[in-house]
Amino acid sequence: MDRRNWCRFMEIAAEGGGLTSVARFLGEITELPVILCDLTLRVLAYQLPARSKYNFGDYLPLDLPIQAKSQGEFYLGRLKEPDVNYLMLPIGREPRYGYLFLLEPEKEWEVYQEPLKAAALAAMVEMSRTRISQETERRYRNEFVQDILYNNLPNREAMVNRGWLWGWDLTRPHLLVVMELDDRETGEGSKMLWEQWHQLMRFHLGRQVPQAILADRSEQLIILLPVGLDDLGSNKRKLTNLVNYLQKTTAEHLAGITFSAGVGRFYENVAELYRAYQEAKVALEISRLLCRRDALTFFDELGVLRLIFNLGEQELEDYYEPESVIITTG
Amino acid sequence: MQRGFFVDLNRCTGCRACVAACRNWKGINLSLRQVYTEADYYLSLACNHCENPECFRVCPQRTYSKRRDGIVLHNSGRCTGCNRCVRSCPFTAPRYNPTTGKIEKCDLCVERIDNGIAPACVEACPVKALQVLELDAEKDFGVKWVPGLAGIQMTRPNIRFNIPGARERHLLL
Amino acid sequence: MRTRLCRHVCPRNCYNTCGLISMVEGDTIVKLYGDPAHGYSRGHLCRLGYSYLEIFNHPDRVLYPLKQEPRGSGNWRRISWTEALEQIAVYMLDLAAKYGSMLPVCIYNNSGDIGLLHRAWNWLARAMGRVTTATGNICMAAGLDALAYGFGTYTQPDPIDMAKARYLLLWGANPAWTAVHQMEYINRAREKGARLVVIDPVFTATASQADLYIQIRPGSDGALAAGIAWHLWQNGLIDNSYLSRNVVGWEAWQDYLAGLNLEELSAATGVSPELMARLAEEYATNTPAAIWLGLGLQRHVNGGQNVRTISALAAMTGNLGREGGGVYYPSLEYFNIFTTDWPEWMAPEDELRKFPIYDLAGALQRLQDPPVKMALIAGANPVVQNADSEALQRSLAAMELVVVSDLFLTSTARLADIFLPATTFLEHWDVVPSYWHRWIGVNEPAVPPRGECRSDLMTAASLAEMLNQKNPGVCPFPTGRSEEVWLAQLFNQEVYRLLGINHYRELLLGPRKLKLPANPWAGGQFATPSGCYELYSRRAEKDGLPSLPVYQPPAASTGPYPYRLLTTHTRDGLNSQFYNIADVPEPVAYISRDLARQKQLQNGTLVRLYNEWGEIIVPVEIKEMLPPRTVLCHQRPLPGGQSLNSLVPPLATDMGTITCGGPNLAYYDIFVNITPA
Repeated sequence: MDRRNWCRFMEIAAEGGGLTSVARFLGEITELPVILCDLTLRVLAYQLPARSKYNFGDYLPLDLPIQAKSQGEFYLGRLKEPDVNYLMLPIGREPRYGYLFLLEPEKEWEVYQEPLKAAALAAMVEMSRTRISQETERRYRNEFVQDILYNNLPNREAMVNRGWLWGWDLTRPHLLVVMELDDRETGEGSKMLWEQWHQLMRFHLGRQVPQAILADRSEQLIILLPVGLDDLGSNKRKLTNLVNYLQKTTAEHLAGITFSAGVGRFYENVAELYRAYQEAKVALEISRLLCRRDALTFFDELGVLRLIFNLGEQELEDYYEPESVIITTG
Repeated sequence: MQRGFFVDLNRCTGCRACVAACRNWKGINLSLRQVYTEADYYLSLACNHCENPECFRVCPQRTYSKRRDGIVLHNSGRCTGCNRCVRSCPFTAPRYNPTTGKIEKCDLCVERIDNGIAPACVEACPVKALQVLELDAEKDFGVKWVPGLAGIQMTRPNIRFNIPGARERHLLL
Repeated sequence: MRTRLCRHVCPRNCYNTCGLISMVEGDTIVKLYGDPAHGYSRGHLCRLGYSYLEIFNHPDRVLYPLKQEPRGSGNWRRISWTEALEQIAVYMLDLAAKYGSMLPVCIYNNSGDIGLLHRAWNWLARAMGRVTTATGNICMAAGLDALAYGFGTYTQPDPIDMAKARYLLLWGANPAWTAVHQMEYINRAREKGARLVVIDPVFTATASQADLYIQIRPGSDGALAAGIAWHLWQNGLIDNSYLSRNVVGWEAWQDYLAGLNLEELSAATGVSPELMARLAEEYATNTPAAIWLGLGLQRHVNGGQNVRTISALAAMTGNLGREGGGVYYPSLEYFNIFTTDWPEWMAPEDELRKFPIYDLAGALQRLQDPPVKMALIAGANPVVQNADSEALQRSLAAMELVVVSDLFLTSTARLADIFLPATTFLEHWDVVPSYWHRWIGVNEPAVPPRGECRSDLMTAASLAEMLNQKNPGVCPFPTGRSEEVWLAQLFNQEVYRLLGINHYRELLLGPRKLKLPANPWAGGQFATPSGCYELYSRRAEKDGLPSLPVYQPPAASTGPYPYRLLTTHTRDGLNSQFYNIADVPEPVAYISRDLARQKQLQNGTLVRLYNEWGEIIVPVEIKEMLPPRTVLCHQRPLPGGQSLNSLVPPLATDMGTITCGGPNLAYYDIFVNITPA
């Protein structure tokens, strides 16, 4: 590929042309369908040739983790449906931002290597820029949420006023859910898995409940779910449906990965949410002690268990009778 | 960044200078740190500034807070001395002060930390067995639990230990 | 309100002699912390150091002179100093009139405060000349004499240099609890790869840290040392050139070693011959190697001989003078450089009538022509710390007047007629050398004395003044001097030279270290008649002791009292001090699981520990790894008027006269029986 194309990709990246421009230019050069995805294989941008018959939804029809033959840095594989070949180059190595796909490459696919590399680089510039501002926002949001949840703000008014700046209505009551992956691994793979899960949850939560507040701490996701003052039963039902949906989505997109959730008691006042946060974590821990997976545990349904948990794991296991605890399994 | 204590079980001699230094610095007559004698080592424990502090959860007066650097603080202003936190902490960190009728708890000597000096216990230790470290999930040094410490799964204490090395012992024939 | 910082030195009978700084606002001490300028303690204190404000402000501190009527009733009333001193002085003068001298007055002073100005009571005795006092040292005399026979005059290498050792053999020493700051230097050595070996009958906190811990039968240390010596010799691990140049008596000692039966030694010590061989190998090949002789192993009737034998190992391997190596034991040399003798007003030493300190109770009863009628006890708590508490209490009861000066109403004080309140180091001047390290600090008062407390020096001077008031010239002890004037008298040219200062006040800017060679034996010159290290000591022979370091067994149990009682030191207090602060554990007698089973005792069961000298009642606790047939009761005061030392007879060790004027107490050679109470 000649140098002018390289320069063009760099210009697109520098101008902030967006992922769509990158995809378009790559499509022009290669005359193949181009699909640009994030870590969860959600389609961020694509460019299809005029006569193309493809129709993709939110996600690329491909399972994670990606099963493909590696050819150096590139990967050759097949989509689930339609059943076509692809040539893929991951965007970024450490950290990884996403994937760049070319569909139906010709047998001599080496000719696409340079365009792909250039496009991936341009995409990476774009995505890392987005990532930085996302991370900054995430950090500030986490700090604020944790200030609320660890009682570091002087009073309710301070919380509510700061909340308005984020576009949150903290005068409404919120239910607090803490979610954590069931298998806590260590090492490289786990960081990416967590990032994938985080992105997946953010996207789907944002779609289901736009006013939900999502924060994270110590590899747990914290969701503040605004609810009405109507009866607790219906709030709990809505929450259960939401969590079950998120659990289903996680399993679908991340090849059977599961997470468990704990929910604190209902507090009308945001200044009391710190209690709900701790209660949610306790509920989650108790379900872990009982070796549950894919679980959703409500603190106020734990019964006597929550009184004896601090006796220690062994005592709890000895005491536990399966029927005495209400823990819903997704 | 979460601040927590690091206890080197290899070095601690159980001399309890840390306990006395804490009392001396705080000027109160009960110690916020204790040294427990285990079979093979001594455990010096104060407050573990947990991730999920039970004291914090159960206090009916909202007296507890956890700073961004992890230090769990007790604000005695609202404290009524109900002792709920005393009963709920697995590590007996909050102590009841009969003179004031309120709770006292190790605060990692915040006023010292905020001025860049080590807590009184850390400074006092004659054998450098105590340190305050910045514990992060990525940093993996020491172990999180040793026999003699209560269960850590629920409250996730921010404390790490260096376990004693191998020793050779010969008792009487 | 002005804030001042004042410098202090802890004057307890402790290896560490730490520096402290007090922060004073107006007349209130608001903070007390370690002095960072102290080169040995480096700003650190111990559990006790951090408790000093509690002691200073303790509600039980006596602030005014008291009189108890009748004696022992607990009926104390406040009297004025004038009244108190008058009663004492008049009584002393009456005794002098009746008996022709003040020999019926016994002045007893010990190590409650080891600051030099606290020797004032001894100086007062010397001023009066014909007075009864104790001679000897209940603590460390046997070891010091043993080393004096070998070295001539013994002084230890710089303990900070333990950091340079490659092999640290802590024999009967437990610095983790009794000399905490030495652990820093031990740890420095270990960080560089040095090996820490601990030999002790008890599995102490130091033992738990050792790379190698060897348990030994109490008092058999000389046998283990002999066994190691045999292996050093047989395996060619000795330094022949050092032996031929710097040691006298090696040939004679070889004969002794040749006659040793290793199986017997093993049976005596409980240590296998293989382990002895290994120790010999390690000690000889890891140089420089340092041996720390603990005080415990010389608290037996064979204590001095134990020390001679262990010290011989250093002579055999040439470790004596090595930097980082050698033999460590507390010594009194850094006290002796100061001026504490003023012949202008002091009578010669031999005018005093002296009794062996280890038999205080007996002496008070037995001395005649004239008998002892009055006891003046200051800076000491002999009912708790000395031997035969029950006899001592009877002896004191027989006195016509008992005067005690202290901070609190101790067990001894409760037997007094008159109590004189003393100051803490926060309220007086002093200079405190160490019997371990070379740092010297001056102690200034932070605040004026609380209440009507007076320092020992001022109390002695007040008594002298009162005596002279009643009978002019009877007591030449200088009066009318301030503490600082006295302090200045202690300093001389030699002290200034060694400290590199011109005036003692320079020490207020920070303690300083005596400029002395790191290891006094580096040059191979010994202060003995032969100029060499004397394995064979003619001097010892003349003193009625074995000429060679031969093993002599410790005392053994007899039929009715089969269990050895070990009363080792602990971290919770210092001798009888600090047991009135918060956080002190309850007293307990440790026994082995076997003994508990045998006597059907459980944790918490109250037992009677008794022998023919006395008894105590205390709860038991099962402790692992105790030597068989041994009860361990940490040395400390007991509640309820009991005294641990009521079980301790006036049993002397084998030596102590040449360095300390008398032997020490064989505290660990006592035996008891045990039954449920």
